[in-house]
Amino acid sequence: MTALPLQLREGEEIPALTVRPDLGQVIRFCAASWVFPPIFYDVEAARAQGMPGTLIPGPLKLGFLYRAVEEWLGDAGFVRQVRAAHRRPDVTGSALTVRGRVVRAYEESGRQRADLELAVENEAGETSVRGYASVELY
Amino acid sequence: MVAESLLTNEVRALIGQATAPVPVRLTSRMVERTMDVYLGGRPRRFAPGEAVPGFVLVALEAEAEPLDVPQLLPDGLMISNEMTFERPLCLGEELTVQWRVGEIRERFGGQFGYSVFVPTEVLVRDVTGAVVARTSRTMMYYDASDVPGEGGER
Repeated sequence: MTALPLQLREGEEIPALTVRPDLGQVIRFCAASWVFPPIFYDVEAARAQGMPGTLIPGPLKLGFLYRAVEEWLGDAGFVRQVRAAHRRPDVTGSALTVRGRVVRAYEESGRQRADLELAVENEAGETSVRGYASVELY
Repeated sequence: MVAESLLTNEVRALIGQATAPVPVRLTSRMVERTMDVYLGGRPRRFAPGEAVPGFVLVALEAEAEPLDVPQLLPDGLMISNEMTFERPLCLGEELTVQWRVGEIRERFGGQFGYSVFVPTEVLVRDVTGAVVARTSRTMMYYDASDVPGEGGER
């Protein structure tokens, strides 16, 4: 956990989170979610679909967005929403970096809230996922 | 190349349909397994009633009974998904999960040729029936033989 943010400031960047999901992690995701498209674990099936290798599931990438925001937020609040728009496939074993920044800080219903823009960057520096999150302080 | 809509009355009738809510308890095992997926290593333990990381939704939604939505085209990509929380979920909570179909749409002549968009969501309710969390995703179905694919996730 990082230090608690005392204020939600527009323009504040959250710490980057870099992960490198391997096949074992993807298979554990499939088991936890009970979803088993072969393209996630069978390289021949993935190549038959025109992919260079097995893919990192979109919901796993959404979870990395969530994780990056939650680790930044610490115990100061909770993540109300996280969204992902998937732009490019990411291949298992490749490094992904989640970046984000606060774009709006406001008070609503007596609560301190903030909206963040997020992105997942691949090893080439391309954005594979565009994301959004909304957080609320306790 | 598809020139006419594949959204038959049978398909359109699925819009708004939901399965029966399934009772589910948010267990330590669900939390530990999803923490292992997203964080790796040895997960921390939570006390009953303690707020848990939201990605436990992955395990909760797996308990929902999905409807059988026909796949109208051979290839599919998940183009977007989200998780929403009205409040943190807590260890040991008794909840229900319910799977629902959103507004099915189609598109002619886009980057992927004719494509069909199928949004679905899983609603998580507490014992009072209030929705406390939801997860949703939109699948795009297309025919890769018409348009060599690139794009999102399956």
